Amino acid sequence: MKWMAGGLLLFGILALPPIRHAFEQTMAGHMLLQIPLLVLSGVWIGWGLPAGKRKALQAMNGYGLTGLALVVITALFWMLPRHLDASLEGTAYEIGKFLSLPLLVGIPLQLSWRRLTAIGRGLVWSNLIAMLWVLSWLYLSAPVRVCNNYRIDEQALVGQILLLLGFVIATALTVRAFIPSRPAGVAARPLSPSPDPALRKT
Amino acid sequence: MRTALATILVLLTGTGVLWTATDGARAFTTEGARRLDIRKSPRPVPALMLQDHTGSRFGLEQFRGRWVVLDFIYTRCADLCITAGNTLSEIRDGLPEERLGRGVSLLSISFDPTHDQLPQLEYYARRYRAHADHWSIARASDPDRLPALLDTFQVTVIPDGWGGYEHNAAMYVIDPGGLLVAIFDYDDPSAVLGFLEGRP
Repeated sequence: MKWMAGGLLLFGILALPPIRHAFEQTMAGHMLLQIPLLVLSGVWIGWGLPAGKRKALQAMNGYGLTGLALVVITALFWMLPRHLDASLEGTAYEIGKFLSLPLLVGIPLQLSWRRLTAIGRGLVWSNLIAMLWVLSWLYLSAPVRVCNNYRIDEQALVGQILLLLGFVIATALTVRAFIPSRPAGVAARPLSPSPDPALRKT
Repeated sequence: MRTALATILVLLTGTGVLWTATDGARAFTTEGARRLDIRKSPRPVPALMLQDHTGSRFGLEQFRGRWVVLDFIYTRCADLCITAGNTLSEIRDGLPEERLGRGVSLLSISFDPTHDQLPQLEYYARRYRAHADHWSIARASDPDRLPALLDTFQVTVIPDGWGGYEHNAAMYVIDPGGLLVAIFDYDDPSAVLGFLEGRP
């Protein structure tokens, strides 16, 4: 319930007109703060969903596939520059953004993430990195603006941040992939007798 | 089974939404969308009184009966509008002499009418050797009407924080009937010339 309250509170704060305008003032604030925070509010709400509701939703979310499909498609929609522009110029798009990011990205992401296979999660991370770098390259090299409402230097700044973000995630993922996440020293200790026959053989 | 159905439903609906939202994967930016939209459904240009660099006043409707190639500028502009200005010069130089000023007119409208008064417009005209008989550098005589015009052309102007403006520069083509029929890149004179060539 704590998560639910936290998620709703975060959503409420993001929806306050002065906060909303402050984030949307710059391209970086809009893309890299407001949108991820809206998703985060959905993740928290998903976490706090009552057990009965979760069970009902998960019944049609085997392996987290339905949720992942929703997340990818909704994220793609909001990644298109024309929809960022539209959310600044039309109320309907703005409301759509505020509803779809928590409901169709945040909540399904929370419900699905742990149900995905490890390889599936790895695939999502690697695609995220690739996408961040493609967008970053686009923003850094485009001679014209992709969003009519933001300046070209803001676009370049977002490009640099995306490049860095991709690099940070890539590094973290590489470390995670090749170094087992056990506390230091654990692997070196001799195995204690275990009831698991597979382990006893070693 | 339910998962399979739900996933397929999400993917189908989602692809449909994305397809529609990008005009069939043809327009990913607002700029791309408006060009496509105008090609499909040309829109009438609103009436606006202009004052050109020679001081003479006329309405936009004065250009009925000929093609107009139009760009939006502000005279202090140091980047995009210079390229756009050069593009218009090249269009002028590329047009057959008998069409220039008769079949086709060029027009630059300032979206900064407060700063751009007659002397600024004159200076700009001299810079591009623009003669009023074929190329008018103009400002809105009634600045209150300017937003409606910018709206029709979907020009978004935002202050760049350095006293200038950031704007989506482009070349607009108005047909003899007064309809905005096409938008081209601001740095591609041959595209405009090619478009006009087959249209007397």
